[in-house]
Amino acid sequence: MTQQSFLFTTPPAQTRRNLVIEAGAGTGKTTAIVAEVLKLMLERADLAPERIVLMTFTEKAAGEIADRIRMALEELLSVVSCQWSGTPGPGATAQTTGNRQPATWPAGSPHPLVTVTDPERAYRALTHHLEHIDALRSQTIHSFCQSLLRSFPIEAGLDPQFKIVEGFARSLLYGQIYDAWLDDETRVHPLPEAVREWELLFAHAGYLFQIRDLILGLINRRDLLAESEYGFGEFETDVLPRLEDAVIWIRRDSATCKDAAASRVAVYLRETPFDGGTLDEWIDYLQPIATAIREIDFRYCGALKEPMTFLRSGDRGESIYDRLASHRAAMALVSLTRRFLAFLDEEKRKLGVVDFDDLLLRTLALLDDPQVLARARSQFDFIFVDEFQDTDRTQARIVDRLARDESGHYVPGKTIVVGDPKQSIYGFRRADPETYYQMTEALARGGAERRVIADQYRSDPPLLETINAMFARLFPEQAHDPNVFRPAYHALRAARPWSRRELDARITLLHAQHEEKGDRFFAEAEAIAEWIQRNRDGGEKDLQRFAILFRRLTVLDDYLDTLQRYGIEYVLPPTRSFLDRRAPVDLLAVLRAIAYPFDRGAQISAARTPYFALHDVEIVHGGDAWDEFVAALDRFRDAAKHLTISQLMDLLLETTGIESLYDAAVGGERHLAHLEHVRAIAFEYDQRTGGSVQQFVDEIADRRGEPEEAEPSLVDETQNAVRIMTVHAAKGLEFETVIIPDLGFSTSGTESLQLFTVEEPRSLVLAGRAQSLSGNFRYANGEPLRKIAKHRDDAETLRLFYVAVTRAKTDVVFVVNPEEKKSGFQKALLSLLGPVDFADGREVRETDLGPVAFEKIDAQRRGDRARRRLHDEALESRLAGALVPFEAAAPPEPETLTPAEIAAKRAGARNKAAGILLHRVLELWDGRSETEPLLRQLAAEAAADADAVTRVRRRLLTISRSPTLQRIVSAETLGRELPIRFVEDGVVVERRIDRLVREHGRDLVIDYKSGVPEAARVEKDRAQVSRYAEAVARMTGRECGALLWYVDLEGDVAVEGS
Amino acid sequence: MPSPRFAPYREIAREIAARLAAGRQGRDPLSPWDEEVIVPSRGMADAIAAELLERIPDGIAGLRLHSLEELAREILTGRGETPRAAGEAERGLAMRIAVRAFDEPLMSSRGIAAMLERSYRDVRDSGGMGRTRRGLRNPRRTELVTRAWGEYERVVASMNAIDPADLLLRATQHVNASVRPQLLAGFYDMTGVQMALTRALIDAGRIAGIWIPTQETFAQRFIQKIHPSPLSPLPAARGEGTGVRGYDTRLDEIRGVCARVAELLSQGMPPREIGIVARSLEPYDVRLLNRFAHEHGFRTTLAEELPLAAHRLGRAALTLLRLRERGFPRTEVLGLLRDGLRTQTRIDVDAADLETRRARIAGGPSEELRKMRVRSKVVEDYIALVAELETMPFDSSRFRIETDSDLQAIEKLDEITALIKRVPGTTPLDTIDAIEQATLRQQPATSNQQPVVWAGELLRFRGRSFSHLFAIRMQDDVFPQRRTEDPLLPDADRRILDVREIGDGRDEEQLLFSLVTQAAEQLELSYATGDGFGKVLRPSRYVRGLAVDGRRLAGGRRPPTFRRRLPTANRQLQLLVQSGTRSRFDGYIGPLDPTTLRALSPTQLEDFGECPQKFLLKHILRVEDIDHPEREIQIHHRDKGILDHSILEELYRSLDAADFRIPLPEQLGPRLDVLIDEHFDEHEAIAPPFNRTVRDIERRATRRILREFVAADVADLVANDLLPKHFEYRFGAKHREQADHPEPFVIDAGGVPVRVEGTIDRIDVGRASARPSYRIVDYKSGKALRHVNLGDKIDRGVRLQLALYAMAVAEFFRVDPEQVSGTIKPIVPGETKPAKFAFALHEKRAALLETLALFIQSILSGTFPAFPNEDDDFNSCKYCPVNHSCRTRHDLDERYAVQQFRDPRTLLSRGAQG
Ligand code: SF4
Repeated sequence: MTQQSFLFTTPPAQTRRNLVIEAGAGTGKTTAIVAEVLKLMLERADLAPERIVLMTFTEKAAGEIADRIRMALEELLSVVSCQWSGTPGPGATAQTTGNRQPATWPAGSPHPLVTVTDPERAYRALTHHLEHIDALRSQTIHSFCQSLLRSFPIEAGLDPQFKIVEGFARSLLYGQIYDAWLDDETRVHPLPEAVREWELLFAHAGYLFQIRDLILGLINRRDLLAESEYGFGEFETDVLPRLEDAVIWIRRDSATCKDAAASRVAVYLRETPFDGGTLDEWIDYLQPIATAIREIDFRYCGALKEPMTFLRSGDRGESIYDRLASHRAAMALVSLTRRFLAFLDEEKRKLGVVDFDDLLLRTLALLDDPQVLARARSQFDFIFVDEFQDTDRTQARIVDRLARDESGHYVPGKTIVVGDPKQSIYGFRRADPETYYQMTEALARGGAERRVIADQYRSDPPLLETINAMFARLFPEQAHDPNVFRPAYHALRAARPWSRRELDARITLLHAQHEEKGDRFFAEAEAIAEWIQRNRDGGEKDLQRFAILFRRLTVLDDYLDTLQRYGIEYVLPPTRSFLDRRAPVDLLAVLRAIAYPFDRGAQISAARTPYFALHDVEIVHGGDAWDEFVAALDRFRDAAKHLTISQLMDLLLETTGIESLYDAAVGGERHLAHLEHVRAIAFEYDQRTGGSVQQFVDEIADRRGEPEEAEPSLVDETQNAVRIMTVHAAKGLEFETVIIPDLGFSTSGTESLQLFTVEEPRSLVLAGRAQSLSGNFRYANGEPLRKIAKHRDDAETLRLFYVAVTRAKTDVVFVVNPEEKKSGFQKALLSLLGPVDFADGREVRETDLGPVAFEKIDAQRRGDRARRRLHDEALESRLAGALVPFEAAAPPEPETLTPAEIAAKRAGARNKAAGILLHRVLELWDGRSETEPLLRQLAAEAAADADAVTRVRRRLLTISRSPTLQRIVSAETLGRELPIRFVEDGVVVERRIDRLVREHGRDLVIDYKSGVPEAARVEKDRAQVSRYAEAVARMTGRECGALLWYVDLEGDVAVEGS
Repeated sequence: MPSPRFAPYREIAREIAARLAAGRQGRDPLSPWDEEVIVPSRGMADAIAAELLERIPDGIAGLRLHSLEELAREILTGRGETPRAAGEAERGLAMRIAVRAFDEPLMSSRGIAAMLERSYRDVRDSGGMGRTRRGLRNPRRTELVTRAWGEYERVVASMNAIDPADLLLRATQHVNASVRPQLLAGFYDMTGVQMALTRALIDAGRIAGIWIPTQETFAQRFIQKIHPSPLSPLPAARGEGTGVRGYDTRLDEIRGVCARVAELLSQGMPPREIGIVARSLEPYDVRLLNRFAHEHGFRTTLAEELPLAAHRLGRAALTLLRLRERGFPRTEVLGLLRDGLRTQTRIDVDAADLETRRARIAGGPSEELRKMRVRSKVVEDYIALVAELETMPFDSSRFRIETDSDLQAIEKLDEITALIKRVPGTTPLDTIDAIEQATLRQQPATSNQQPVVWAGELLRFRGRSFSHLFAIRMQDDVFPQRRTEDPLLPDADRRILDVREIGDGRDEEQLLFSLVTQAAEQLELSYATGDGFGKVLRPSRYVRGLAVDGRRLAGGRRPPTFRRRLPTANRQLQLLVQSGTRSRFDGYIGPLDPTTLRALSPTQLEDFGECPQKFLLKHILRVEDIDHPEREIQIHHRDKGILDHSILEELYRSLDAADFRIPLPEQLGPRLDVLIDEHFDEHEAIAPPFNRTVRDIERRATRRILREFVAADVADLVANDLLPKHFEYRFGAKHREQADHPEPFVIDAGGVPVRVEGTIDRIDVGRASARPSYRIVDYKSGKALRHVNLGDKIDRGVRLQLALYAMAVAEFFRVDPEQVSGTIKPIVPGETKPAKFAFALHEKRAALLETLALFIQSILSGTFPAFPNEDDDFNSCKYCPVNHSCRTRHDLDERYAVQQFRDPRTLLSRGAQG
């Protein structure tokens, strides 16, 4: 591996090699990519930008890289163009214009990455690329896959117009499909094999909802479930020999145990003959002594200690019996999940939807088709992959396939991957650093160049020194472990000058003292708030300097609340599930009360929301307020009958003025934003599902915690506020001061089920709620494989720690509780510093990491600063007093039709088709010839049904006998279906006149009407036809009459217009 | 043939209007026009009409401003031909039927019919496919596709219709001198058949003038076909002022633009001079535009589309069509009535909803439901209702109509039924499909006085011009729109087959953008950088091109904060101000009537210990949980508890002291099985299972679990030298004659006597005769994790039941508290050690009395704050009937306020004092 900084010369095109760039935190990874693209473009003036694919981790990154490439091209072009043409370009610097030094990029950098040697060629290349730069494919791997699938939907077995479901819609859909599947599997088409599996799993999990959780959880690892080369363990080979040994030993050895349970086991094994058999048979055999085995105390087993230990294995739930049974349940789970996946795929195919996982998996499967693979490969010449350490195995395989040629070799120079293995932190999104290792190794074996970027442009040199000291120890060089990837640390070189800030230490350990365990987060939050108050300089942007980075957001509320009480502004970007927040909960409480008239709890909750704002005395003791509220709710319920969910929400929000309420509240923007999100969800729900209010409320209740949807960031980047986010979200960002609270978080046990692969011995392991044999009976480094999950977690926690610390430009604050258990970041930190103790105030001590400040803040001032509730302070204090009387907001009665109106409108609708047909006949009929052939012909044209044709036929009969017809025929026809246009109240009006005739020298507008002239109708019709007649009169300056001709089945009436 | 003139739309409209007006001078206004106009869009027609009316303000009559399709129809009608071109719904249906004729995987996906239709359209519009088949990417697929089209044509013919392309082609053959001279206004592109008709018109000398709005690359193909000679370039007509605004979110963008429109209107700009255009609008964009327009006092021309399936009648129709196949689920049956289905059976839906929930009916046909042994009147009615639905045919006249929108929906349903009836070979699935695809157009309900501003998608916009135009949603992927190849007929194949290629669309999008830029004097482009819900959006390349260095040219990121009027009802504001301050909004309701405490169950006290507000809700306000039987495929957990209890009770009662031994008596297992079967059968007669398989699985699981439990339980009894003596031991007045101890247990809680009543699952008594020990046993179905660390939880007042029972037993049996202990027995063995479920009374008694005194005082003083606790240790909200809507649980402020005083005792003591 070569270790070098940026400076190098461009190799000639034909000798391009693939490239693996390792770029530590703050080393300018994006810059490195841009430089590589620029070089390519300069080298190859003819290259079409669409032949370059840049795969990024996020949409944001995709946009940024594309923008930076465009800007770099423009920058270089402006320099080169003036060199070449001799005229200074707008962006040219004096240096480049004056002395014709070669143009470089980044401009003015002491270590330029790109140097232009031939300006003329460069000019042509740059102009060409800038013109076509929009075709550059800078996208996330998901959108890359999406475009590939859109080109080959049929080959991929997808609906050609597939849509992507994500977030709430996905969760809703999957829930619905799961229910349908469960019903199908167990009620509609129960197959014995499937029922057996359900039964096994049910026996293990106890509840169907838990099975549901397990299966819906497992489908997120469908990539692994599809692995054919990895196994879950074999009873015959992994367990049986040792189990048989143990049983034989116990049977053979007549030694007695002092332990009662062990004695029961021994007696049973000796007295109950069993020659061995399948897994099921063994489970049945051991079942009667299952409890006894669990209770064996092997300290008192004497000579039988070893076999008894094997049987009991560990804690409760880990005995041989439990493990075998767990494996059997696990296999049932796997099998059911696979069946569910098949069902899900089929349903999704029918619906024409895919999710993000499908995009990847389908693409990978698509690339199995040699023809497609060949065409896909030929579409791109260069593939850049950013954040390669966070790719999952499916993504890596897709890249791998595209990177090779048909002989299976990597195409030289085609693939450039950039990443930092120490920043692989997306394990929960299946990122798999082991994959990073394997693929970069394979690339290197295939001739790729490895490059490590060591110059760091982010942190102050003293801080960087500390960072190097910390992580050299936390990431030591060690032998490669194929199962747990632990990258070695490469020291970073400070490439940025010192900042102006003078600090006594770059690392602060802040002690948050508290007595009760439950106070911990408040105590931390208060220490942070105090510290920030003491360390802000009062400048205009003095809060923007600080970022508080969390590992998990579940504890966030306490911190936010404290900051609010201290009056410290903060910005909280996306990540929390919002359906469980106040505004959506209140809205849904009211919807629930509307949907469930018999749910008293819902009713009371609705009364307590700000929509109605009853107080509890009114609720408990009843009275007018309560009655009014109940009546208002009834009104909403009436209205709801005729509304969709989103319409109902609109009505509710508008009637109760809730938005203005939030407007008035401090922090109400957040409520409003949440409301908007719920409204969007409801709209989508109406569009896609169209369910009732009851269904909607239930669906939401089911998914309250589910959608890890992002929350809108409400304050723009320029606001003077502390940044709060997860370490994950902070990736790629930098801040002056990084504060890390909640150091001792623990990650273990967060997932109830884990599925993962192990490379040596090659296995799939299911651990947690259901355990495969592979996890318990196969070993690596002397430990059962299930432990690997924990090691990987630990390794990832260290990487996360690295990411968190390296976000800092000047200093880092760790909020430490020496009493806390040593887990999470705290464990890493204390492993470097040893035990810590604090005196009051700030004290800087020299440590192995350099000077470290130990600071203890007394912040026991909880709750003494009341938070403002309303923007209007005066109003707030006024309202804090006596309660004003309750006033219910109720919507108006829905506008319903009377039965007569309905009957009339229905009749009108039935008449409509006949009316249109009649008009058409009259348009074309000469008034003399037989009508029947024309009627038939036009009935076919209009696809009129028999009923309409009969009506028209009868009307035509009426017409043929009508004197009005004679009158019309004998007049001169000026036009039929005649368009007229005129201006009325400043608006252009366009209408059609059924027939315009000239009768006795007077123009006459004739309007055909079906049916009879009821008074109400005539009035309206007359007004209308008179309008037309007036319009014609205005045009001609002559008098114009109007005639309404009502034609019904039995007779006709002509009515003169006014 | 005239050479084309190139001009922006507004100019085209002016020139044509001038020409037409000139021709009318001195003529009778009702006389026929010398020339007619062919327009590509409604916008062009409107623009010409408006210009013409400027010149002839009295109005015009008889002028035809028609599309090529309308002209074609007029030509044919003139010849006495009136063919029917299949409409969109018919074509869609025809293609879906055609697809069904092929048993191929390709033909089974949902979107395939639409895809086939689109390719078919291209082929037909191109005038058919060439003969060459060599070099096709997938000849077999092309073959299949062609056959599907053949089938489609057959179906269309069977409907007595022709394809729209045929209409144009037929007209092409009949163009002659009788067609009036036509002005071709504003086209820049045409389909193959449109071009064929146009060519025929040109060849017959019937085209009197041609106006083209652009010379962009994309239009060159069209221009070449119309006039294959070199042209003078059109001067680029760009709006005078172009600005770009970037917003944080799509919401901000649309609201911001509406605010800008309102500003212009208030400055006196006529509404017709303002337009809002987007390359494409999603339904939600339309919604937001109308919503924010309303907020700002104007209307847009956009109508919203509501899926028929989201209308209650559409939903009811779908439910009815699927009901049988779904097995008559309870919610759907009742939903039908709520949605407006009229039935013979008279039933109060809400009462039926509640009763059937209580009766644990998940659904099922009437025959199944009749097996229920105990049935209330309402349940009887429900069963009758299901029976009626079982035989009910689909008929829209059964739906109750109440509003105009109901009428609209019913007409749509009728339309669908008529279409389906007309087409041979349809199935009920087609009806379902058609309902799912249908939409209802809804104009937003706003006052008619409001000014109306044109808003719409770019393709509808063509031909229109404004003084001030807002081009919104200028996002990547929206504009330019990304194209993908037609997978059925990729461009490579199209080239071979001589069918119009799709290409990357770059030129067309560029042209469309240039049309936007030329259509207004002032143009404001806008985009958002996010959807507001966490998704990043990228600005369109056209905007990026305009913005310098990706920075925005004008405007801030956020529209000025939109402030509404304050609510008049200040009570609402008071809730915001006072909640979380121990106010009347927070459960502090003042002294209560002491009779409230006449009798309390230990569970009630426990509820208080967990969350005082939960106690208030459940026991004073009588809030109950609402069950969802359709979602509870398993036996309801409360029922399951009762089942387990009664099985164990019966089993143990039937045993002699000698039976409690290890190994277990042989007959025990079989006897248990028999009991389980009996009790399950009994339960089924009360609550018939909707899902029989699952019920059977549960039955077998219960056999296994209870066998294991009994074995372990007996072993435990033997080990502790105990014998179960009393089962379901009832005490207190509420049990009346069934009580084992008719008196309640009266406990003195800080001077207030509290009467405790209850049922003890089991009391074990020591075999030793002197000072026998008493153990209170409580079974819990499941692993009982809520009860782990029982002793500790008793001290904290969150688990009181067993301790109170223990006190009662000590008193009833007159034994020393030293002799009494209690334990929870989880029926499903977990990993927890039994000791964690047990306690000794004498260790708990003193603290318990103190706790009770505190609770009682607090209850009497009316102190019921909510106390959300959801950690691993105990979760007060999990079984709270209002957990989904509890304000305190979901509000940071309020949560903080109560968490200040974390220990309920502290909280209560302070509350009681204050
Ligand atoms: S949801 Fe939780 S906090 Fe609210 S009343 Fe119920 S138990 Fe109390």
